[in-house]
Amino acid sequence: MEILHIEDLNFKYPDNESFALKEISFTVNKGDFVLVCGRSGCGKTTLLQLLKPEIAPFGEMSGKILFKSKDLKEGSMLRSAREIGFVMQSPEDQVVTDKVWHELAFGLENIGADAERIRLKIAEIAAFFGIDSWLTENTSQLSGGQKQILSLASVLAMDPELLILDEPTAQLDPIATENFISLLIKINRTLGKTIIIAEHSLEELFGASDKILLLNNGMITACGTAQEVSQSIVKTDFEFLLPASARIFSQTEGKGMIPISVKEGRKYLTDLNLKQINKPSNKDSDKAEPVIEMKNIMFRYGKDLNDVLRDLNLEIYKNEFFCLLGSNGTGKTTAVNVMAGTARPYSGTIKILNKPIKSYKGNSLYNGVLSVLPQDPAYCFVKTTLIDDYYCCCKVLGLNRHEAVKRIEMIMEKLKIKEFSTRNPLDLSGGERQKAALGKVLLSQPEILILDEPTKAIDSFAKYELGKFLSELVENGITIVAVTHDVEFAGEFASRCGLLSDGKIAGVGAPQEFFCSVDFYTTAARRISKGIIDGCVTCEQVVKACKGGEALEE
Amino acid sequence: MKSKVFSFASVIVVVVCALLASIFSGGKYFALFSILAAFAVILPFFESFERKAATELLALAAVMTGISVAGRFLFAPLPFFKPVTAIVIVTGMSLGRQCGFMTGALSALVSNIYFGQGPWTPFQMLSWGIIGFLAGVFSEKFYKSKVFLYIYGGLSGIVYSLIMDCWSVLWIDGKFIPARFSTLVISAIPVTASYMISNIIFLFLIGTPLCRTLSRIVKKYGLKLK
Amino acid sequence: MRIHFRFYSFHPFALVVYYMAILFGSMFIVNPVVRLEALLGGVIFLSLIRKRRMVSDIWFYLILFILIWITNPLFSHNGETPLFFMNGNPVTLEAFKCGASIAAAILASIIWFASAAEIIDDEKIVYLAGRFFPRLGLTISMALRFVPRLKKDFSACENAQKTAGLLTSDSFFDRLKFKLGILMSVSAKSVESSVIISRSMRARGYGMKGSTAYSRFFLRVSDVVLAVVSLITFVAEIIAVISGKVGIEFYPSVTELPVNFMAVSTYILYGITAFLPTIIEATEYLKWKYYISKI
Repeated sequence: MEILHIEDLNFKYPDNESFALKEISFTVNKGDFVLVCGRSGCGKTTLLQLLKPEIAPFGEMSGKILFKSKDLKEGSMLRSAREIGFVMQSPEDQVVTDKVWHELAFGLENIGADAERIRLKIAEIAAFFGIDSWLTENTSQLSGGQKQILSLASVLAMDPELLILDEPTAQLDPIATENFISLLIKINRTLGKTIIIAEHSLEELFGASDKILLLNNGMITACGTAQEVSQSIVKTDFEFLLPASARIFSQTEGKGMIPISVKEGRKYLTDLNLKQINKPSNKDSDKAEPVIEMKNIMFRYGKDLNDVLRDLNLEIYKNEFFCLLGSNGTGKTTAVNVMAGTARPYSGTIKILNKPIKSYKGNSLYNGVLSVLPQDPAYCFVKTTLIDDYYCCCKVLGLNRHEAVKRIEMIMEKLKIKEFSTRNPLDLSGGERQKAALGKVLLSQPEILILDEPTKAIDSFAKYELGKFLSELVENGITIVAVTHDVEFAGEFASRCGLLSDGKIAGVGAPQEFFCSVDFYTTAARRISKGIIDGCVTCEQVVKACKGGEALEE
Repeated sequence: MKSKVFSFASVIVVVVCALLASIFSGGKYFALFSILAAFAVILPFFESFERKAATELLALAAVMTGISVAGRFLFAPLPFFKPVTAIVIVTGMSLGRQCGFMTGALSALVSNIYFGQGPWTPFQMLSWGIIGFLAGVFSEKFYKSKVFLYIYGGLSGIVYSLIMDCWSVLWIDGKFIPARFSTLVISAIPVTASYMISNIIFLFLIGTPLCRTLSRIVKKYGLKLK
Repeated sequence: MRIHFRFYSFHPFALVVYYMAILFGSMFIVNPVVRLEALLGGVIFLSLIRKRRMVSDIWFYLILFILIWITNPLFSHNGETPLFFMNGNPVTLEAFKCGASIAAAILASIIWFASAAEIIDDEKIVYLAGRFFPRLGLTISMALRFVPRLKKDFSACENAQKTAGLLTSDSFFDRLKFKLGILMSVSAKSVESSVIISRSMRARGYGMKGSTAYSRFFLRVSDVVLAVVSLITFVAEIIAVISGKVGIEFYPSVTELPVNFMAVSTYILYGITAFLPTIIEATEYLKWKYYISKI
């Protein structure tokens, strides 16, 4: 049965020349799990918001949106509030109240449910999501992943028939993302709710969806089941959207059904019957001089609190791309702060470029030695236009006008952000804003660049671009330390990885040996190839190994 | 305009009535009448907020309150520099008097949840509320000349602290003993001066940019303030 | 810890009536018996709540008491028994007695406010405000949600801008400018997110007619009992104040302690009310001891 029917939908924002959505037509059946994907800026968010009248953007719209065969605009507010649930991207920006129980009750209060019903609903939802123990907590004490689950729960409490989610896991770490997505699948499978989700972490979702919608420039490029969409975008510009299995399949010139999940990928690789395999060569990095030395670092936030970092020993060598991995709450950000001199450990020594960190006075550490790209790039900016902000930064760094102009020119050129120079940094999209922030921290021409979760909230395309750019920086002599929970990113670009756990480094090594020595906390390509082709961490390596193997066979 | 005059008049009537009542009762129950008067002035504002405020305005009042309260923690290492009054003034000026009043009154209430409630809470709510409200009333003047804004900031620092002193003296036993008042005022001069100076410095340094930030939001999302 | 207090779990309305009765009596009935009851009841209950923390606070309260007590004669020269003269002004016995009474009243109200702040916590404030003004209650709740979040944002932003080299020196003015920069960055971002939050609110149907208010509070028999007892005390206090038969005068000379029917019943009622929380906690303690010995 059709629940949503969209026909010839066009949409244009007031100040824009071009259409944000063009000739969109598709239907959604009751109980479907629909995935909407595409690069950022392709119109995903606009499309989803148009399906929810309360938050629909203003602009010119034509075409039909029928919800349960009635025009969406004609339905009452109450009906739309109750029957269409919407979960947004940022967990911080949709939790309204200060108590968890109040957040769950919020929507029900608005649609006028009585106390008895609200009590029952809260009890039921809390039991379903397993969040009973948080009910009396303050929402500010929850982690990002918990907040997002709370948002989903509070929407679901209103018992909507259609659930729309706009990139709900963009701000979460991989473990929280997996939890969230398996919850969604559970809701779809066991409650039969119709779900429409826009996402850019597709590895899990691709196989779980009944229907996939690929948007590009406001138009539908592909629409159908996972298999159909995979078939139609294999060997096109959108191939990077596919799960690792499908990409390996495509690049090894596979025929027939495309493997989607890790399981199918493993089967595909096994069936290739590779006899002899060229093991990817293991580059031995010759140990250069250390630029950061951390010895026996102990850190805690208060006298009566637990240690966040305990006996942390870490050396970062010149000209390497080091990725510090670890799940949330293991003290990654604290490690960044300690490394960058903004948090002082109560015991242990830190040397930056062979000088104790304490010997850097004023802002001398941050002028040409070390720069940090914070987790939220919005905090980098103090002025209302990007160019003003850059000039302000140059002034603080003690550059004269001429030098400043030259340096800004160069960096904007490199990052291709010239077109944003007169925009307000806050008006930029996530990926653009991050580039602008990266440009800003590079203004001081640092020898060491530290990045805190650089891949958070950007799509896989932007992630690839960022990795490429950072690798170029490393080639030009900069040392990079990235703190991340993104194993795919680390596997692809890092020259050395370390795992932070329990306040210390649990394992360290080049990505190939590092990711091959762990079984769970590893890349999809490794999971697919483990035991079949050893020593591969990225899809390219698998493909190369496969091709090499075939070459030997002949 | 009519509603403006009306609300001013009602404020004055209530305050005068309370003072008269406390004088006639021999000054003994000043504290009681002053609390009643404070509530009598605050409630109509809450009432109108209840009827009129748009959802966005409600969220903005909440976030500005949050900023002014959390700002007290941010500036804790710098003694005497509390950004509350300046933030309340800028809010009133750029988001209108209703939002200004609510931000002021709620800043007092919420910051006292962290720093300690007391019989002074209603008066703090009232004083900061009125500071925000009047900033909204005079906003056009402030936009025309920033000097007015700084004068208003300085004055509200002095008046705020004088009113609180006056109230403390009367609170003790309901009698206005000049010697006690002057002792209190003199001992509070450094604090009063720091209020005044910090308000002016805050408004001088962040008044314009913060105003711009708020106006940008109003424009970007097409919010209707009244 | 206070979560485990029986008194904490009373209904907000009952608690408000209770504290109104206590504070009204302690402030407006000028009578040493009532003030002593208010002070003692308040101090004991606050010590129960604060335990160790009270030890350091008690010095502050003692100093405050002495300060108000001994400065009163310096400002008030009424009374007919001069003890000595200062700058040609008499310092009278009556003024000392009056000072003690005022100090007791102020101290009692501060101490009861302190316990009220622990018992009537933010959740109850949001509930009380929301009962009469739903939007106001929600705004307070949202502000309470913003404060811890903004505190976190401020420190994240402080780190970010420090590493951008914006804190150039440790001088007062540089630090002030640095902090203001942080305030601006965080404000710009959070104002934006408040608009997004209001979208999320509308997406969940906020702003429609006929909304309800849900709370976790139940009105139990014990709540009604507490409210009724407090209300009776409150009414008795008002009658006592209006009739003028319970209060004493300090000037020109201190009048005798009234012992008429109205005065004695006020003493008893106020005494019960002032020690009620302590009595409730004590019974609760004994009950648990008994239960545990049974287990």
